[in-house]
Formats: sequence, structure tokens, C-alpha cells
Amino acid sequence: MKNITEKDKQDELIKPMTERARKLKDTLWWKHTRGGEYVEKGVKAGIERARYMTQSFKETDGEEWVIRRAKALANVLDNMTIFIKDHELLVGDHAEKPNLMPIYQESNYFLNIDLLNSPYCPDEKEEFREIAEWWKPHTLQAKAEKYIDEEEKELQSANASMESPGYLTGYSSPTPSYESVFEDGLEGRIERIEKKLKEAQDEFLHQNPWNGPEAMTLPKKMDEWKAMLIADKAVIRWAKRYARLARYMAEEEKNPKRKEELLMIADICDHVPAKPCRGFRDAVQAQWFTYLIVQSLERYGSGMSCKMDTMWWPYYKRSVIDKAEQPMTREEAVELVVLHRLKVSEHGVIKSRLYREIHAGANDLFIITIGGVEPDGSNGCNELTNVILEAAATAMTTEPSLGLRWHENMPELTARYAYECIKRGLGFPSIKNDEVAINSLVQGFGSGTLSIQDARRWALCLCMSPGPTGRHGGLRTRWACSSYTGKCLELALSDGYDYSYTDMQIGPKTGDPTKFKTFDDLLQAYKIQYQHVHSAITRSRDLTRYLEAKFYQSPFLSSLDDECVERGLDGIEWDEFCNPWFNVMDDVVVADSLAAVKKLVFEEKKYTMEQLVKALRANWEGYEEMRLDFWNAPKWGNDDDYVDDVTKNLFRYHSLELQQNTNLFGAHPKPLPQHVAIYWTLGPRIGATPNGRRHGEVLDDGGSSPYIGCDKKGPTAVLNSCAKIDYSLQKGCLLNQKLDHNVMNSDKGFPLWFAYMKTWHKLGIDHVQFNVCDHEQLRDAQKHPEKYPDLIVRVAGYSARFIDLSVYAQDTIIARTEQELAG
Amino acid sequence: MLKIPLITEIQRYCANDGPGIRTVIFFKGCSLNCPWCHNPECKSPKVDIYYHEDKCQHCGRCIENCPQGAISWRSPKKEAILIDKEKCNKCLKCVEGCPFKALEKVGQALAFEQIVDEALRDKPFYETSNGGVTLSGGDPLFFPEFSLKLLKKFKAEMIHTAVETSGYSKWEILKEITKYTDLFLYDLKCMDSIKHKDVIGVDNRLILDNLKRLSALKANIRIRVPVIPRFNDNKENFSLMVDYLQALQNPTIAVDLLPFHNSAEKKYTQLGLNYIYRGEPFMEKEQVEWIENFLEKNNITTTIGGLIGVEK
Repeated sequence: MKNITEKDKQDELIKPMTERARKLKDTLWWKHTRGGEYVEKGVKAGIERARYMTQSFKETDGEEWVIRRAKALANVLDNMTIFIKDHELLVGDHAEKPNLMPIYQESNYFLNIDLLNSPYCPDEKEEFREIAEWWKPHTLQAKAEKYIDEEEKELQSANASMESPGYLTGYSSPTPSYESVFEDGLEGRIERIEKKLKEAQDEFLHQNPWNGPEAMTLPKKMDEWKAMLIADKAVIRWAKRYARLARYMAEEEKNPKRKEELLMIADICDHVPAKPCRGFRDAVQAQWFTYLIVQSLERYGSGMSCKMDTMWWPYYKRSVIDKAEQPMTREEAVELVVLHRLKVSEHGVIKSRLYREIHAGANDLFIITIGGVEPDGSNGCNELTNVILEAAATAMTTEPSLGLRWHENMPELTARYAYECIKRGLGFPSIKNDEVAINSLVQGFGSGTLSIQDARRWALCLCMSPGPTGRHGGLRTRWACSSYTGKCLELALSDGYDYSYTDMQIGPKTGDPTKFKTFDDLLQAYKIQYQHVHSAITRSRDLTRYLEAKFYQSPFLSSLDDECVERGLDGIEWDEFCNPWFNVMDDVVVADSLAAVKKLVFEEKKYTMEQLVKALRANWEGYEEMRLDFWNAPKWGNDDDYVDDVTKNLFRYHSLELQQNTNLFGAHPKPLPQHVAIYWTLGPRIGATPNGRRHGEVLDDGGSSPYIGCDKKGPTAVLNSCAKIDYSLQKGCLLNQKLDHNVMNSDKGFPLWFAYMKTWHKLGIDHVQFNVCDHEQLRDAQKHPEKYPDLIVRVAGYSARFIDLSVYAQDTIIARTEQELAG
Repeated sequence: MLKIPLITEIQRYCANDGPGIRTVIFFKGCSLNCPWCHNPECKSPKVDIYYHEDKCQHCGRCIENCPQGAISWRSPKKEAILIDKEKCNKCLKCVEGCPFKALEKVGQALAFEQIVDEALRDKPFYETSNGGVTLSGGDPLFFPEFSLKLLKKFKAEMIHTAVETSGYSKWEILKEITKYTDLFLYDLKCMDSIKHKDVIGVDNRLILDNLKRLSALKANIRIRVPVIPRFNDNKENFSLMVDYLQALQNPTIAVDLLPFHNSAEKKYTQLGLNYIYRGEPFMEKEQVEWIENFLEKNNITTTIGGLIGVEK
């Protein structure tokens, strides 16, 4: 008798893609970037969003800005070219052709200049030149520059010690309330908003006796409501254009089966998002339409913040389990989720060179959250959780990434589906500790707290940061930025002078490092450098937020939020539960460096500060013996208390330090140690570091992940190290782990991993994600990229197609996977 | 007096040396001398020196530092060094003086407490995976008293214990060890006594007798058979093995066939040891399937590769 093998179990769980999905996948336009450039020839910007938005803005001169934004959106939606591709069931795009992406000409003029001079400029180059010219004074960037001086400008755009500020990047990650689209339909929203507007108008015109302070809040609110109404009505008209197109195509269609499908599409687009969803097909289409507006057409937004298995569940149940409306089988539901994944895969963003580099190998960040507990604390993983995971393992696309909330009573079957994704090398689901995240949200940030029930509805705003979801979820967009601590350490060792990259005095003078007598002297200098950076970041983030509320409103996003509608507020202004965080990068390089200096300079006195500073300036050249000593000093991730204590204290320091800042909502940001792909792009920007790293070499790949090649004791020692961090002080903390692909594919793979995950959870660690790949295979893929179109690796908070990565990035990934399980 | 072993490595998160997630402690020293051994650094109970040619920068400092004059250039090109094993007295001056860590000491004298502390660190993982600690090597039974002491300690900590051994040991002490061992990973290389002595250096009678006695004590035993080309991969050997295993008082859990691989080749080079299997190709799974089928046909549960992490 033969036991059921791993292969049999796999076949049972994960079915191959359907014919339809396969055909759609084969003809996708991938928008992935490599080395800062789009990989696929022909991928570029489309003119239409910029054209119709500008046309409208020219016509609305003198009107309130929020109304102008709404009318501009309406003009885009009424006039943009729409299309439906062969085989599609889920429709809608953000640009006029599948190879194109819209332009956000209103965010920063640097990007416009960059675009005009790049191969990605729209075909209508002259028209775009005029558009860019018209927008220059109206961009967020131009508006912000009025408030800062040259020094600040240089510091912030140098991208040496901090990420460029929001007014330069236009970066945001909204969490729309999909629930209100599903439950009320936009017609329901309109009714609600009209009622508020009517009441306000009555109040304003008939208030007697007059109460100025109260009454004079109404005009702004009325403008907001009017803008919301313009936006919502335009979105309904836009969806109905798809319905008309589908009906027209059905008339021409010869194939009776496709004809039927087109009529079904027409029926769905007529119905949603105008009316409440009837079943699963409606809900998937309504989500996609809403997403396109909020995160692509109204403005650019990264991520796909939603708790997907909860928000779709009532409709899934109605269609798949009860067969009451839009009845379908589980297989059909998997196909629909696969089609949704393919839609996201074809999605893309025209962005600055910096972000094209940061998101190497991907087209943007799309993170969907699943799993976790229900608001009452019971298990929230359902059949749809498994379907979403199954669709990911079936489709094998890098986007969207999944974040799985792992809670104490994690069902084995859901874990099993997650395992199937990880084993295939997808790199996701990225796994977050549900209890740790809920605890952090309940604690809040100094500006309001969430009830435990609301906290349990959390989803990832972006890669790593939990925020509330639902009909009234708190801050609707991201308040975050990134600080590069590696540079701060470098500045502490050079009296604030950035010799390795900008050749400028970008930090405060903290004293001649060769005169440091104690380890505390060094720490003190580092702290002053870090303070300088984080207050500059907070300032630029707040300035951006202030300007966004005036010139970058999102009336459609706002119309979906019950609280925004109630209060006549823009989503940007929502202040009751601000959810701020700081990405803290290179912290492991800093911790390893500090530990090495502490040991070799101040304790063992094997080297002097003078020698160290010289060696670092020389990029270790001529100091190889010394470099090896620093490289071989205790390193984070080996369950070694010496260096782990330094790391733990550094993490704690960052947290306490950031709390000194209060943002414009009265909240105190928390640190979120993670790196996206910035650990590559920072390599050339940060000079040699005392952990033995040379200038140009990558930084640590994020959060609490050990530096590449430094985790000598395997995954359990890494977890033991990580368990020493106080996660209540962090917003999150990324951990990359690599697992051997042979073991993962053997019969014992799942039970071992499941046990490992249980221990991970018990240790109270915030996060973990896995790279499972065979480095022989990666080497081969470097040589023969054509053989590996589907080979996917985890980069940081997202996954990328391996062949789309630069050789430098590929080598880093290979180095990260070379350590294997003992056997 | 308690004979204390040198430890070459304490390896955590191991998956192939017993159930669950395990920590494996590698003892330096073995009574046998198998020419295919994949841990050649664990053969001798004494300190060894690894020479990592890839790290060597040819500075010649080790040559200068060696008081015995045991180190010389391998060729006039000065591209690599050679250590004369006869002359070397393991003073390790060369290792200490190498700036590039190209010379490495193999075998650490660790305190009993140090070993225990390292092994206990992964206790939370043993608990969720039904894993534990495995003593391996070399052969832990080369240091029976020390092994016994460790096993007693781990059992007191309620940790699952496994011993990976050649079975070449005095029965009296092995009997005692059995009390504290949850699982034996017991090597059976070859049934032919003469061949065993010829190739491995010791007779297999003690090994076979010990196995019989262990079985009588109802110990949990998995038999490990490294399948070595031209040595034991013949029908006759496995026929004899079947007869022998079937005659045991209590059946063993399974036989794990471990097809030959030459991944230890680099270690032989680093140690400056001769390796007769240099260039010998890996044995494919297909080449040992006939053995699996044969054993299974005789009602002996068999695996290839010994994947034993799965709880039955």
C-alpha cells in the first residue's frame, strides 16, 4: 500500500488554469520595470487622462478646487477610450489601451519633465508638453516649494538619508470603503449625500438666529458634497459605457457562447457600482471599478488595501454556496479570482525613475489582506480565503501580493493553501501575526484609538502596515515616509558630511568621530543625525498632507466613507484615527555595525576610531584584514545576545525617538523596519559601513532580516533573535526567510513548516515571508531567461519576476538563497 | 575519566536526522573508517585544519608562522599552500595568524553546559514539531559516557533524543544509553563480515550483535544504509540483510536507503585527505529503487533518502 504522496495532495488542492485564463495571461502587457526601465517594449504613457483632466481644468478656472477635481474626473470618465478584450469576464482599464498607463501630471513637474524626455512619453508629445507646461505652477510640488528653502530642497530630493517627500512623489495608499459600494451602491451613496447637502443648504439659508462659527463651516462642506455627487454620478455613467460597449459587441458576436458572456458583462456593468451587489460576479466587478477610480483615475494610489475574504464573503456565499444569485461553482469562482489577478497584473503606473527602481521587477505594489479573526475574535478564515490562495497558486503572477493574518487558531487547510503558494516560490502570502497587529492598532498613535472590534477588521495599507477597513475606517490614505539609518550612521562617522554620495554637508555637525572616547559618544552622534532626518521627514509629510487637502482632493474616495459623508470631509482630512508610520531602513546594517565597533574598538581595543574612520573612507581598500574582523564580529540573527541586545536597543530607540514627533493630526509615528527594494538602490548611496560592508554593496533586505550571508545558524536562530524585539513599539517589522526548496517539496515539507509557523506565532514575532527557490535554477534563469517567464522571487514587501530583475538584484537574491537547510 | 569529544558543529533546524525540527550535535571521532564518509572531518578525534583555497590570498604568513616548518607552497607559482600532516603538531599558529580566515580549526572543545545551552535554545520548535536533539558525528558511541550524560540531561528536559551511530560499542554502555534514547538511527553498511573489515577497518559482528540486543529491548530503530557503488549495492547483500532483519525479536521501524553522493568531496580537499570517490557521479533515486522494492516485498518499510519528518 502506498501512502498519498505530496504530489497527489497538491493536485487535489491546486488545479491548472482554465483555457480562458491561460489565453488572457499569454497576451498580457506586463508593466514590470528592470533597472529603472519598463521591460516590455511598447509600454508607455497614454495621454487621455492628462488630456481630459487638463481640458476640464481650463474650463473651470475660478471654481473651488475640489469641484474642479471632481469635474476633471468626470470629464476623463465621460471621454476616455474604453475597451473589452477577448475572453474577458471582468472588465475595465485605467488607460485607453492595454499597453498604456495614465499620467498624473498634477503631482510633480519633475516627473513630467522626466516623462517628456523618456521613451515612455505619450505619442502625442507636443500635446503633452503643453499640458505639462500648463500644470507646472499647479502641481503639488510647485505649491510645496513655496514653503521650503534651497537647503531643505536639496536634503529632501537627494534621496540619501530619506525618501523623497510626498509632494515630489505623489505617493499614497488609500483604503476605500468597498463595503459601501457593495451594500449601498453609488445610487445609495448619492441619496445619502444629496440629503446631507440639502440639509446643509437649508441650514445655511434659514439659520435663525445666525451662529457664525458653526454655519460658516457649511460652505466648504457643501463644496465637498457637491464634488462627491459629481464624481459618483460620473462613475455610474462610466460603468454604463462598458455595459453599452458589451451589448454592442454582443450584437456583432458570432460565437453564441461569447455572445452570452458579453450580455452578462453588460448586465453586471449596468447594475454595479450603481446598485447594491447581487452576487459574486457583481462584487468582483464593483471592487475592480472602485479600485480603478480610487487608485488610478482620481489619483495615483499604491497598494490594494482591503480585507478581501471578508468583504466578498456575503456575495460569494450567495453565489457559490447558496446558489441564490449569480449561481456558480467553486471552480468558476477560482477562475474569476484568477481573472481579477490578471487584471491587476496588467495594471501599472507611470512613475519617476526612483520608483521604477524601488519597485524593481514589479509594476507597483498591490497587497490584498486575508485571514485573521472576525470582529468577535472567532476564526475569520473561510472558504473564500482558500479560494483566493488557490487562485494565486494557479495564476502564478507576482501581483497582487497577499498578506495572510495568522492567528492562534489558524485552520490547517488554510495554512496548507498558503504553503502551496509559498512552495511554488511566489513569496507570498506574506504572513502577519494577527494578535500583534491588533494589539498595536488598539494602542493607537496618540490621536484616538480603535475599539478591539474595529481593530480586528484590519488590512495592510501597503506591504507591511495594518490599518482599519470598513465603512468608516479612519485615515483613508497613508501617512508615511522612509528614513535611511545607514546614512545616519555614516554621517555620525563623518561629522555630518556625506562624502560617499552627495558630497554635501547634509547632516548636522556631530563632532570629529576620531575623538569619540566611548561607545555612547558614537551613539549620541548617531541619534542627532537621526533626529535631523526624522523631523525633516515629518515636516515634509505634513506639508504634503496639508496641500493635498487643498489641491489634491479625492471626492470619489471620500463619498464612500460614511464619516466623510456625514461630516462633509475629504478623505485626506479625516483625522480621528491617524495611522502614521516611518519605514526605518538599513537598521540591521546599523545594528551590526554598532555591535562591531562596540566590541572591536571600545571593548577589545583592537582598533582605534581613527583607524576605523580611515578604513571606511578608503572603502576598506588596503584594510582587508581589518574588514574581515569587522565582518566576523557578532551579527544579528544568530541568537547571540551580544549583538541582539544592541539591535533590540536600537529598535527601541527608533521608536521612542519617533514618538517625539507629533504630526498634524496629533499622532506620533511608529517605526516600520522594512526595505521594499530600496536595499538595492541604497547600495551606491551609502558608503562603507562598520559591519564589513563595502560602498555599493546592498543593505540588509529589510526590517529584522539578518544581513545577507550573516545568518549562520539557520531559521530557528533567526526567529529566536527576532523574538527579542519589542513589537508593541513597532508598526510592523519585516522578516525575510529563505527555505530550502527540496525540503519544501518533500513529504515532510508541510508538517515541518506548519510547526515552524506555530512556533513563530507563539514567539510573538510580527511578520515573516519566504523565498523558496533553488539557486541552481536561479543561476540557470540568469543565463536562459526565456526558459523562466514564470519564475517568481520575493523581493521585500512584494514579489517580482526573476527575469525582470537587474543582474545586481538577481545576484543578491541568489546570495540570499544559497544557505540551505542542513540535511 | 570522562572522555570529552571535540564538537565540529551544532547544527540547528535540521530536518533529516529524526522527526521534526532538530538540533544535531556532531562529535569528532569514529571507530570506523568508511572511505565514502560524508563527514570526513569527524573521523579523527583530534583537531583538524581546513584549508579554504578560495579564501587564501597567498600572503605566506602561515608559512612564516609555522614553528614546525610544516607548511610550504604547493608549487613555485605560490598559488596555494600544502600542510605536511606528519610534521604538523596542531599548534594552530597558522590558523590564528591567517588574516583571511583561509585556515580554519575543525573541532571545538565545548563545555558540557555550552552544548546543552545551544541545544535547548530551539526547544519551542521541538515542541511544535515533535522534534528534538540528535547526537551524530563521527559516532557518538565513540564517547559513550559523554553521550550518556548528554542524553540524560535532554531526557530530564523532556526533549526527544536520537542517536545516529555505527553501533560499534561495548554492549554494557549501549544498554544504558538505550534507556535515554527515543530513536536510534543505526547504520548497516554491509552484511559480509570480511568485506566489512577489509573496506571499513572493523568487523561487523559487534554491530550486528548490538542491533539484535537493541531490538530485544524494544528500542526504536531506523536502519540507515548508505548505498555505495560496487560495495554493497548487490542483491546478495540485501538478501542477507532481509534475513537478518526478519530474524530480529522486534521489527525495526524502517530502512532508509541513502544513495551515494559525493558532496563531501570539497571537505576532503580542504582537509588534504585522499578521497577515492572523487568524480564518482551521484547515485540517482532510480538506481536504488530495486532495493526499495525488494525490501518492501519482504515487508520491510523502506524509504529513499530517509525523509522521516512526517508524523505517521
